Amino acid sequence: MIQRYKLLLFAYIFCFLVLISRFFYWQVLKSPKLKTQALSQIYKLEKDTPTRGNIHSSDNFPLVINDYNYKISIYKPNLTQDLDTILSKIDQIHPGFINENQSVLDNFKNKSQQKWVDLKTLLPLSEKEKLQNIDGVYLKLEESRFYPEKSLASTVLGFVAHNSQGNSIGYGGLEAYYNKQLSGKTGFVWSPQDATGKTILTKKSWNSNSTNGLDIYSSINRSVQYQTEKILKEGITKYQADSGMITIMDSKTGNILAMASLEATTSATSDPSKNPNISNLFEPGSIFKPLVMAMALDKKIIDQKYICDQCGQPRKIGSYTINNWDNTTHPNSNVYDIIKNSDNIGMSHIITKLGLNNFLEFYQKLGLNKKTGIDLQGEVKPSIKTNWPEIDLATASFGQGIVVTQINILRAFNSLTNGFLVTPKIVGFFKDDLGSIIYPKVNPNLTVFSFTTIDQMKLILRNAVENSVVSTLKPKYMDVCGKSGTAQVAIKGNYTDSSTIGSYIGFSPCDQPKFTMIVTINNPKSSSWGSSTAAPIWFELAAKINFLL
Amino acid sequence: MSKTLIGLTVMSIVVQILFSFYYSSNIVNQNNQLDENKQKYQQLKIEISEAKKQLSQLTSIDHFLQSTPSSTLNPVYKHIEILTY
Repeated sequence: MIQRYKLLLFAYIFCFLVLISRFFYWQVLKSPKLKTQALSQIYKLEKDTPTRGNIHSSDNFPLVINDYNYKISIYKPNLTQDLDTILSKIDQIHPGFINENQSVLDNFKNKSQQKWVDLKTLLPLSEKEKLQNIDGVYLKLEESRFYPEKSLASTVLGFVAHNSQGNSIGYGGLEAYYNKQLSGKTGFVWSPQDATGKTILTKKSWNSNSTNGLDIYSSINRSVQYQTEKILKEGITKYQADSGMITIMDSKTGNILAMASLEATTSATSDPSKNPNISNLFEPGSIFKPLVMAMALDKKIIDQKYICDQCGQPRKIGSYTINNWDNTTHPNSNVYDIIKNSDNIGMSHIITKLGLNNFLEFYQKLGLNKKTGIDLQGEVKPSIKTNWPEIDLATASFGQGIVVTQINILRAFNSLTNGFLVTPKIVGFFKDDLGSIIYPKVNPNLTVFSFTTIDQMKLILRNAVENSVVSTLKPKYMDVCGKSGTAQVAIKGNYTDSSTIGSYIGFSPCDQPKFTMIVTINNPKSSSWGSSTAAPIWFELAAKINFLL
Repeated sequence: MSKTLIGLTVMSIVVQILFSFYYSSNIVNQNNQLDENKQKYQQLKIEISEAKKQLSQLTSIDHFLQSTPSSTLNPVYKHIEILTY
């Protein structure tokens, strides 16, 4: 009897020890892991996504705003009605729905193993309300960008898309450059939730508030931008060009009023985030001549009374001959004639007098060897050669053998309006949810040319407009200082007449100008000259925007 | 004495149960209210954005040009010069 009692006691003690050890295992050893698991079931981490900032034009009109739409998904097992009946019902609410998703829906119907489908159609709020409570049809809120002016200023604005992690980020233009400011700060809420997913208020929760993105107020003038795109499009068609670019800047502040680029035919490989006005490098051609002339006047290498006594014949440098665009010569030309006639020979003599060191000093001062710092994504830095034989310096005087972006040459040319090198910019200010205004950092303007040089150059450039072929294009009520240019495109190291870039650059009015504008037309077929392609576009646009500024 | 004690104990238990019912229903109501407000906020946010979208569409140059019969006409820039002596 005692034996059996002892056995029973021993069995009890053994069971008790086993139980205690299991309790110890779960409650002590496994405690942290189980606690985390329990918390993760009760507590949920939710993302508080901020609203992306809007982008406005200079008249406070929203060029980009947020749009909320609903994405449709269908789950076959939960359908209580026939699929075709449901689809035709959706098609009645949103006409064209079936056509838009034809191939996806055909696959979904035919493949019995496919249970779930996401459709690309986005429904607005008004349509979503008519579609509620259909078993098996699910609607998910999607945030996207909406452009009230459609494609207006698209290269300046950029676009928003999902990256590989599924986050929305900006690509190209302002959307990319100011992605951080526009995105805001994502917030997080870590709170206990009941079985239905609702927050339990009595329990402790942690949260970091989200901050909505800042609204951008840009310098883009909506009416000027519209006219720019319209006239550029018409010009490309009229002159049978491959593409074209126009940039208009406020001469005093450097604010960009309009920026447009257009291709005659859009290729499938073209990068939508690329802005040619700040990323395409080209040889400026004769529009560079006024800058070289200003350098020589500023350094007092020549003065207004300078007469080119070697301009009566083509200039020979080694095995090369420098000639004028029309193979004529202009003996004893003065500074006005040299610019008016776009005299390559005269300019080559002036740059030789100026010398390489002075030329490179001004080249750097004009910022032609670096980025302008414009607040747009994708600006390209122009390169400059290190080896300068005599012929290269001579050809540089008429813009050959050097490369710049359109924004680069526009900024440099704008220095002829007041002597200062401004930083081109698009953003005037930011505004937060509370209405507080935040101004971006402003770079100081750098002095390049003296006021005497500027006054002299304005007379030269006004003469180039009033007494040249472009004078007929200028409305009588306008005062314009400008210069045309035609650059041959180098193909495999050789310049050909078969492909040219025609440009016109100028500002108006000459005294206290309101705007500086450049028009670049790539490979026009109707005429290869900038004076007969880019110049007519420049003056037509100038006449229209003159009333808007 | 013992009857009084038992009575008090039972009463306190009943009060506790009633209070817990009241308290939990109050929390549930507040939770529901919070959830409703969240949904309402989201709905208002979408409605505001929809209104902004429609306003911007109606005041855009694009809409103006499509809805104006004279949109294809160009303004007259011709002028006369009056000579003064």
